[in-house]
Amino acid sequence: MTIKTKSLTDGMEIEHTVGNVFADDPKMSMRNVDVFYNDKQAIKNVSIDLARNQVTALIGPSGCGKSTFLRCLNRMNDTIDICKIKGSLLLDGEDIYHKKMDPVLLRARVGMVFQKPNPFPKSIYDNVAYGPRIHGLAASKDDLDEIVVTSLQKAGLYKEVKDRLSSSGTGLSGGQQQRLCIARTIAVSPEIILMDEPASALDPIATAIIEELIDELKEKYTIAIVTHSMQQAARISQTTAYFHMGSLIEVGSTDHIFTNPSHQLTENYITGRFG
Amino acid sequence: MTNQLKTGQKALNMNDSSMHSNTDRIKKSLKKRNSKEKRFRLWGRLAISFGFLMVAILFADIGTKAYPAFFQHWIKVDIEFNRQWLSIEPSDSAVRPDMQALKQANYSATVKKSLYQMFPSITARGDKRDLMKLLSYSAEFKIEDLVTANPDLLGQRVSLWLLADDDVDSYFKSDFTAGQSSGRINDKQAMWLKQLFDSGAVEKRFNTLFFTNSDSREPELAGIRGALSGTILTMIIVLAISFPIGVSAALYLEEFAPKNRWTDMIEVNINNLAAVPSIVFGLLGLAVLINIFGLPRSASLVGGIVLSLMTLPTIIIASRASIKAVPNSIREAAIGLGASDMQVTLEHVLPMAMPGILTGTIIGLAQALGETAPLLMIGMVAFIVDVPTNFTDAATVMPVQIYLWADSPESAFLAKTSAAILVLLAFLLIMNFSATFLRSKFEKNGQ
Amino acid sequence: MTTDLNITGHISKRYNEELEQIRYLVIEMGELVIKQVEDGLNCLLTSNTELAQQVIDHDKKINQFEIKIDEACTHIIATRQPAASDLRLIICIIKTITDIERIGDEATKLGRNALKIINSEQNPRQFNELKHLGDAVIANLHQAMKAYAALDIETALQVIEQDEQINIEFDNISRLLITKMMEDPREIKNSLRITWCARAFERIGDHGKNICEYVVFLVKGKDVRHISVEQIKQTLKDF
Repeated sequence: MTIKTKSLTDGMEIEHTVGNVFADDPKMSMRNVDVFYNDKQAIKNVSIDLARNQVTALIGPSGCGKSTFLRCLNRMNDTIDICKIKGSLLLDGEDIYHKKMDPVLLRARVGMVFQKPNPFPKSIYDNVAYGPRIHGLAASKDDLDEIVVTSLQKAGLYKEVKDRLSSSGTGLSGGQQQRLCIARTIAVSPEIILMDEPASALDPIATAIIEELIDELKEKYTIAIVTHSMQQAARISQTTAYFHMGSLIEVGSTDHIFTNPSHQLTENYITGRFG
Repeated sequence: MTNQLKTGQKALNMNDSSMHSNTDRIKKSLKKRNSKEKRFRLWGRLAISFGFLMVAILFADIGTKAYPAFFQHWIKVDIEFNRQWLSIEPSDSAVRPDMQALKQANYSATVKKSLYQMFPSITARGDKRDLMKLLSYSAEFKIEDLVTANPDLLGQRVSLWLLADDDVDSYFKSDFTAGQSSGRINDKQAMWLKQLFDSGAVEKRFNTLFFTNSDSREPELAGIRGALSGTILTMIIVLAISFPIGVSAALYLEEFAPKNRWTDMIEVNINNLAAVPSIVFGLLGLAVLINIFGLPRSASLVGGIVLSLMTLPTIIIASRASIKAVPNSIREAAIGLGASDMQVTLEHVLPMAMPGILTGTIIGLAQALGETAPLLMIGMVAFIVDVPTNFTDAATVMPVQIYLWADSPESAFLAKTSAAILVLLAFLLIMNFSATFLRSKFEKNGQ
Repeated sequence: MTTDLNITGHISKRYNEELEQIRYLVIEMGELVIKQVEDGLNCLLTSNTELAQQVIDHDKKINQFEIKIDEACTHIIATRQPAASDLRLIICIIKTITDIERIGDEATKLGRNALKIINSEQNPRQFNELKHLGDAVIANLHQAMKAYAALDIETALQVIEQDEQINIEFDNISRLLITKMMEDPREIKNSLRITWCARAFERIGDHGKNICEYVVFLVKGKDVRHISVEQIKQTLKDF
């Protein structure tokens, strides 16, 4: 399959956004992305890179479009009829909205973890094995076993569930369920993992475990995470992007954003002032 | 300073007192609210008890009426297989008659004469006819069966239990005084029955014929087997047509179809279809299936198709509701892993929606099970004696059978009607239990 | 250069109050320490034993201020997890009070040296030079606290520039005193004490400069420590 690749920055102006949206080694680069729900514009001219093997945090007040933007990255918004997307979204230089790009393949390459832990009502084993099964990643039963075990190990869940792989995934605690969902995503060996507030439904200890896990995962995967917790963004991300009313206000290194943000809106948001 | 303090305290007191008065007011209204709630609960309990009472009365009524139908009276008669009576030629006992001769033998006369032998005092023609009326006319067929099966019986005298006539049956089941006339039994017949009864020649047995026979003009011979077979065949057709079509329609409409004016219109039409009087479907069946496609009249195939049309909207509506109730997070999880729409639908949505779909299907089937009106139009409301064995045989169904029996003049059919209703209810219960079983199985699988 | 920093405006009013309270405490502490330095200079100039003793005693007050403000800062960090400007404010305050406390210590040194010089019965003639240096340092300190209170970068830069002058002044005094000591060895003991006093003033000046650097960091988010004034100006211009 040959997909026309585009140069990353030619002839495109980055408006509004403060800070450097360009990464040295981008895994994904989005340029001038607009998203519409019918006539309502949810994302306005957003350009940003996801740096390879880094955690990029998307923060902003509710309804600012950060989740919508995240869902564009693996075409989850395709399922919404009224959603229209403009602009260029490149994964390793390939346009992910090109008509030759199969969304099923894209979603295998760009995995997603959701806000609410949503394991399938199946056994723990089947939950993890589902992705490899539908994509035919395992040649034999032993292969599949190995994929399941390594995925659970990477998600830091294996020790807790190794004796009950055949029991239901919905019987686990919230934090374990979320790690099961992460294991399920890893099992397909994606290149990018998108996380939509993965810890918002969890207690602080489960959150800490997930955060530690994300920190380890960035060695192998490129991660984009939407979070409402600014402390969480500060703890786990290398780059932070602040969204406001559908616009990308500021992008910068997390250290910079959390000590000395350049834009007043960013400052107001992260210090808890009136926006 | 002290002044300030005082006013401050005053303000505090006022606040306090106003708070107290608020509490009082709430207390007062609380009383009202509590009694209202109590009344409401009482109403609810009354409504439920009323419902239960009505159901209990219904069941008690049907049960007591149906009970007699499950038993029948049999009379012991000494049958003499007399070759002359049987008019078998030659009358020589040494020669074995061939099958043809046996078939043509006069069994009716044999039964009559055997019976007259038991009551030698009866000579009048009218009395003889009355005596004969004590036995079901099936008696001659029974001895024919016996003889053809075993020709050695010829010339012998055997005590046989023969089925009593429905009038006799009703007489024994009623509140009768021995030897006195009651209902369609006159005094003489009552006397003979008393004699028989006293000599132990009358017996009450479980009515197996009810389950093994088809419909008959004779109440003591009428059974539900034909109607039950017809019902089962029809239900198989209904299930085979409406379940796959209904579920796939629901899946398509919920999961795949774009939301536009067309799908809106389809949705409205499906809802309207559920409210169409069932007889209209019967007309459709008559006009299209029988007249245009030339399918056989009275067949369970046609009945099943017509009832399927009636059941479809129910199944589609219930399935759609059940599919809608599947949490979106499950779909997202599967899509996020790269499952195709088809995989999401078949591997995640359908299994999770299955319990609800099954419930809807059972409701639809139960509806179809109790329906007579559309069948009226396609000729399934008919007197059918043969047990249907395939989908094109002429058949009838349980509710039709009940309707036909309820219409019959013989008093014995009253009990049969109730018994058939009981069987229909039992059929429904079995269907419901199997649905519950399947449901719990799916739910277990689903977790 | 005006500041666009806004300490208040948080959704939590209590948080605003807590931050304002700490800032007020620091200003109060700063005023107290300036008073200490002034008293230290005065007791040297007027040979006032009582005043010298008072300066030594009052250092406790400053230490208590430091403890109190530290506690308040710890409280805010623990409960509010400050970020961005709030974070810089807290860090700035923690560092500022350390410097203020050191200034207090230097003021105590002035008091002690004053007591010793008064007791040595020799008439120190070099106090005029010391007065000049002291006044300059005190003026600078006033400016530094003003910059802190108003979050005024302009004033802060002036203070940082002025500190160079103070260092030159200190060098001059040192040279003068060395000449004195070489001329008259009997003067050595006293001259050394004066040198120490001058040294204390020079240190106070440095601490004042530090405070101003923190103010720049607080307002602009740029660390301007350990670089020259020209470089600081260049950095702020780039920004």
